[in-house]
Amino acid sequence: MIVALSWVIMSVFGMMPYLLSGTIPNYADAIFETVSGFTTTGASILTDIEILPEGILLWRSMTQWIGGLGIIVLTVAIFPLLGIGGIELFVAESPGPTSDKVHPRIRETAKRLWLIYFGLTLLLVGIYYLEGMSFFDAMNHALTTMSTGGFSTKNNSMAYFDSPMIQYTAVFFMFLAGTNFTLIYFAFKGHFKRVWASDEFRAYFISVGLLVIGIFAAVYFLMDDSFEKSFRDVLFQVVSLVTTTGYVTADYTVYSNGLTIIFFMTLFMGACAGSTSGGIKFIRHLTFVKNSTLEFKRIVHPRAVIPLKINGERVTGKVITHIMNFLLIYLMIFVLGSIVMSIAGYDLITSFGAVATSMGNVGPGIGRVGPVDNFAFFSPFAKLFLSFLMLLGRLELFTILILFTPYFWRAN
Amino acid sequence: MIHYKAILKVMGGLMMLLGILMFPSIAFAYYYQSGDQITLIGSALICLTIGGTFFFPLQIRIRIYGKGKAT
Repeated sequence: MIVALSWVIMSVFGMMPYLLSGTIPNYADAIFETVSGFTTTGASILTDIEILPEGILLWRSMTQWIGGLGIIVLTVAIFPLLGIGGIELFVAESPGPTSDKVHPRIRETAKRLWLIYFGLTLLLVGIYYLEGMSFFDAMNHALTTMSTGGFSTKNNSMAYFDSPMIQYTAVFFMFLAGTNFTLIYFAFKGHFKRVWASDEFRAYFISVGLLVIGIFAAVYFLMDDSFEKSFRDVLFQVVSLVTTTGYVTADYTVYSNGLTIIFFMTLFMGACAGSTSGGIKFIRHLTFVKNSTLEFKRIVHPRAVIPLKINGERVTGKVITHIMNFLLIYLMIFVLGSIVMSIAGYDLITSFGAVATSMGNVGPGIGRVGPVDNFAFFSPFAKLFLSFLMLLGRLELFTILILFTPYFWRAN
Repeated sequence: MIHYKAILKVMGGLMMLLGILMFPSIAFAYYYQSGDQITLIGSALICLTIGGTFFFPLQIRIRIYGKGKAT
């Protein structure tokens, strides 16, 4: 309840600068922009970002950075205690200090992970600045890159900075921000073997690699751009969507219908558990794929005990059921949400795009909410509904949904 | 059991944190003379005041009566 309430309170008070300054005079719009910030979604209702005063622009980026800060602690320290968040696979079965934990005490863990987050943000400000951004732009973009938020100070997002150096830097740091922060901590300590030993990280790395190679091969033959430009555009878009950052440097809906569907599917991916990214996350996909594959083996050998192992450790039936339930509820809410948006008067593609991108905390979607569009045209009801979906996705569904069950209130 | 006093304290703490985190934006607003300084200061003060009102009563009670009695 505290977790859910915290996000609501932060959104209500965080929208004050927008309302008081008159930059976003409408309540529904202000709530949407603030929730989009704190949940690190990056969807915006602003049609001209560049006319906003600098103080408001920085606050807008700051909301994403604060959201990222909160989510690191939630996913690494609080969610495992509640048995949700995907990362429970590593720690739920071992309440004491384990090799996968940074520190046995939550406060210490949080402190170390925040230090990494803060340090990497500062480093990125310096790199962006040296690569040619103004100090103000460097600061804003560093805040929204490390939080995998995606708010920009420019109307054309990262496409405004037509510099390969800046865009490759953004790709690297988006990928880093999508990695489990505990693994980044181990990498800092020099334990690289431990990083590569993580099944989830390997799945994340290989999937992004395969997606980039596959889409690049298609885009290179479809478009007239140079080899490097095509590769950079595809790499940037894939990493941005998979890590749920939402920056754009190219319109991925103009390539072909098939590729648009693939890009749409990436809205459901999410990066690693324990990172600032949203979405379903690789640990759940991995569990689902491994368990489904083992199901065939179990059919052939009905008497055999065939356990599912992740990171070399056996995953209990309880955790598997939990993850399957999460996936089913996620899909169910996606379908129901799309129906609600369609009833509210929007076409099916836009409804699918808006709901998927809001639940996954990505930013751009497909249809009328594509990479070069924004959410300004939605009705106040649709904006509030999408804001609710952003919160739902950010807090891993169960944290919010449990408040709507009688069991929770009866138990209290 | 829901500890409403504790929830209020956490929410107050969060609001105060939000108010404090508005200060970098205020500094930038002053530097660029972007005209939104007063708005941001106002927002920060509202967050700090409401947050403080939620946060401090319980904190003071804990100081006086100890954690067990105060909550």
